[in-house]
Amino acid sequence: MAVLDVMKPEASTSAEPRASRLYLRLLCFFLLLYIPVQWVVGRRPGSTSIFSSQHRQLQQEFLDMHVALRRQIFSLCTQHGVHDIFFSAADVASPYFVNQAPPGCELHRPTDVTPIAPSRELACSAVVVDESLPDAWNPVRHWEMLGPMEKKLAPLSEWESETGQFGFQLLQARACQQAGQTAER
Amino acid sequence: MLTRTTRSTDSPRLLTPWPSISNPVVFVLLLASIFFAILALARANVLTFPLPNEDDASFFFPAWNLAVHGTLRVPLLNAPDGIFWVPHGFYLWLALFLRAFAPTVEVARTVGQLTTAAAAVLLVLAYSRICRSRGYALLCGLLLVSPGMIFAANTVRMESLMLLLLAAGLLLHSYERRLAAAAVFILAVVVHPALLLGATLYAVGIFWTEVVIPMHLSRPRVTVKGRLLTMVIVSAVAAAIALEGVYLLHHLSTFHQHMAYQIARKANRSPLKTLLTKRGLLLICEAVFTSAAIAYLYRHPQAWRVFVRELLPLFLLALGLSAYATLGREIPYNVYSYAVLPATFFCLTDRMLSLPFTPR
Repeated sequence: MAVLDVMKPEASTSAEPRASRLYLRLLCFFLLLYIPVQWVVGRRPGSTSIFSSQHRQLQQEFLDMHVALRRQIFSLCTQHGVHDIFFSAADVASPYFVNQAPPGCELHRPTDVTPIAPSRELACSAVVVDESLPDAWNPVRHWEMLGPMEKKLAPLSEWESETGQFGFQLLQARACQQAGQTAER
Repeated sequence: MLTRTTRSTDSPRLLTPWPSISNPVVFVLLLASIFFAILALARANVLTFPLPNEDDASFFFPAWNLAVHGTLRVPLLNAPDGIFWVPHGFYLWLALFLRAFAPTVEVARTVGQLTTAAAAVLLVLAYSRICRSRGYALLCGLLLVSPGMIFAANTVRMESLMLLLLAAGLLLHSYERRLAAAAVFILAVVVHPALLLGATLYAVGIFWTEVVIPMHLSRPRVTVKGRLLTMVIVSAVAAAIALEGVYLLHHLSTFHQHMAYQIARKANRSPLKTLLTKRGLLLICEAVFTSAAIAYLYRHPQAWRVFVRELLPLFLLALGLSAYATLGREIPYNVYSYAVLPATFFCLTDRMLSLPFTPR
């Protein structure tokens, strides 16, 4: 900090008495009063609150979802000829297994600004991941929005956590599933 | 151990059984306790406050790509030309840590937690110099151990780095390195636009200081090392902004496309409705308070000079940030509106009450 030290200019070296005790005490009072107000106002900005009683359960269920999703994707990529995994723009799970993506499979995760053409998601080598979880910003639980794609996709498999708060579906184009079933017959 | 403590020059010396805050060791221990309190609270609430959310991926993947593949292009996010709806400073910062440790989201979150806790410590250090009372600065520091800070610490977003830059700028200002402080605030714009208005108002404030106060009173006599530090900071910031500018120019069409989306999203929000929220009311209170302080202090020349030089640029900076946080209406901005800005205003008010009031 010696580098930062400067000699004070003249204006601030003049006598600067501390404020009257009354004003200082009043200021300290308001400051101390603000602390609980801040905790009350800010403790629940989204769907969970700080020190939520469900903390451990939510944490565990999210980690379980991550493990289950990784297993199912690994199985699809290594045994069922899937090459592309498409997440939605509201996906939260992909950052947790981007380093463990199965070989031969590519992850795609659009954003609201960089959407992916639906035709790519309807390819037979593609699987779409639809996650369900409590919304971080609003006190609601929702499935992700597949929009007009919903009618063109059929579930391959699904998973739900113990309390049903977290879950996912793996979906594929209906046409591909029907073609697969015909080939099996 | 008995320690002598004094609150002001005219108060009697008291013998207390407690170690005094004026003891540097005690002060450092209390700063460390703020650091560890924020860190512990963030760790205790990880993955639930906030819940995992889409921002984790949006802001993690560009940094991950830079750390793993060495490019700002993000094919994984279907952005083969890169991401341009926020500047790239945060990605570079995060990529350094992902490269040094491991390219995982857990490392990214830990970086956020440590950065936020470090920013809180720097903020308290700056407060202690601005309001010239370690005890009061620590009281302001208590406002930083708050849900807003924990939330910022646990998200993979740029608020933690913004807080660190804000704190570094405040600390430089407290050492009267105003040009370097302005440079650091402007550097924050390469991370996130939240400080754009605040940094501009701060620059206006320090320019006004040069105009209002005679030069020999407003310019501190600076050591050679101090001048060198300012030059290094200003040059580094100019280089960072130039690099970002060149990168944007090379991807101008993508930048336009991405920003059009951002502007359309933010333009949907009614400013009037926003002002009637809790944040909006806080902003109105802060603006009214600052205006009243300016009007009152203007009639006290001695106090006015100190106010214009030391405090007014910071009031303007805080108001600019508060306006952005209010009108931006994003939950992660709670850290500014409910934690950092109130703490800063309390600190500035304490200093203001200590000014030498002599009527004109």
